[in-house]
Amino acid sequence: MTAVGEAPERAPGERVRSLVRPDRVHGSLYTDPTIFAQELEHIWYTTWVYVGHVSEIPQPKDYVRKSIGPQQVIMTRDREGEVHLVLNRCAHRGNLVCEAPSGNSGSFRCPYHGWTFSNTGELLGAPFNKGYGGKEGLKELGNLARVPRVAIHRGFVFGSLAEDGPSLAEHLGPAADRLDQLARLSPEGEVELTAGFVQHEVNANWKMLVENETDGYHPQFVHSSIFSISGSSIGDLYSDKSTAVTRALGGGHSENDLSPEFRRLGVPMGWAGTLESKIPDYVASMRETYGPQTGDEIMINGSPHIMIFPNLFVAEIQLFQIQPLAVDRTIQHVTAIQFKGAPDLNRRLVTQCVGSVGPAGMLLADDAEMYERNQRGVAQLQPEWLDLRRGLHRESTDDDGFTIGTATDEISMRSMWKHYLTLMAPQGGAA
Amino acid sequence: MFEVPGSGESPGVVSSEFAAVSVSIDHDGNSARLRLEDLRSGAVRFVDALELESIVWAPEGWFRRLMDPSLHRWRDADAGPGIEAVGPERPGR
Repeated sequence: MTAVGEAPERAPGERVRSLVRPDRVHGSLYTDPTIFAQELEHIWYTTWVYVGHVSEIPQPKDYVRKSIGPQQVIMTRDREGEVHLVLNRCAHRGNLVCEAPSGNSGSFRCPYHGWTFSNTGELLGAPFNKGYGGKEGLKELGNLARVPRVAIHRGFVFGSLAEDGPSLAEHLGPAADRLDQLARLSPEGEVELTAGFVQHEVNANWKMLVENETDGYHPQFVHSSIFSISGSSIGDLYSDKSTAVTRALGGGHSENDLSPEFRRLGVPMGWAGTLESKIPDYVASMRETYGPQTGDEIMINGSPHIMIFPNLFVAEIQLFQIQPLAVDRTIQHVTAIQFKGAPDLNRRLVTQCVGSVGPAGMLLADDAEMYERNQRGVAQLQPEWLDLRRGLHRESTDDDGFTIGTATDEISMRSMWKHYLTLMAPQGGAA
Repeated sequence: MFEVPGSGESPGVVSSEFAAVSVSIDHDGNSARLRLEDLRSGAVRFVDALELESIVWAPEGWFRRLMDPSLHRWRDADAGPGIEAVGPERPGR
């Protein structure tokens, strides 16, 4: 027996492989600080991580503070419009260079000793530079560290702290199509993250959040109160009677594809719980942009519900950015998705998100309670393993070759752990 | 917050976490000029129309050079002739 909270003494890859099985995972994966440290190295500081959206820095010299796991990142736009990611750490004494959550400045001056950097990270000067041998001496000093790889898809900015590795397109795979699907819901084809963020901090391991995002088994239990209060029928979509499917997209990404149910309903904007008559300008714009038939198809199919590994969760109308801080501490940065050229729809989406994931929102509060209970529960000694077998016997392959199951099957978790092993134990693969 | 001083019109404050400067148009001279006041130190600079036009056309490298703290405010005492010393002039003049 292995004490929960402490993984057995083995080589890192071999040890992790012993803790992940096709139908179960060991509790120490959520509680062992040494495993969390390995995850930072092999996942968060290696693979592509979602950082922010270009709409958060619309003007030249705009900047916004973001993160890659515990690493604090400044996302900037230079005067030519290019997006950059630099680490928020002065090259002198390691102080945070930026404190404000956002601003407009072409250069950053550290408040500690005044070292000044361009918004692309280059050291521009330091006070009393004769102490460094004058202007020439500055060349020997350091710049702000840059995130070595930055790539953008549909305005979504991703960063990788590894110099080399798969491209963003390779990392996203079919998940890129879902971001395209999301952007098409704008009459101008662009998502905007301009509604502001709420930060929800929970005392739980980050993987509990990732697993929960496309877990279709929990909504009818955990979220029954908000479903009953709001009169929402969304809960019914997460049942074995539903035609919705859970789909493993590879690369650790997964989705709850509710579009079969929305198509069965056949009503534009039914996915958003609203009516055409309440947002006539938006509906008219969509039909004008895409044509009546395609416009209606887009508005009927709706928005994706996808978890893009390891930290971007798009839940139809809201976006979550997962930030692990410690083995048992995680922040979810949440915002209402806004669509360019859709002011009437955007107002409704903000209102809905205030009710679901705002400071007093009922949906995320339900989940947060489960995350923290789960973290406390998994610290108990027995049983050592968490079960992942729901729907294992009825997995199938869809027309596109993806593994799918019913809306409540745990395919998404199994696929996440399979990918987890490729990163954490690259010489092995699934145990 | 900072008090916005000056005898000019349309005062405003351009600020970030790094600096706070009050901006107004001053008419005390024979033609209008921009009045800039560093609200953290009280230092004031007036900028005339031709200087402003030159700023608009100045290459980016000029601004980057200006960002070096050792160039002016935090210049070593024995670093040789500096650029023109600025104020501080006090508000309300």
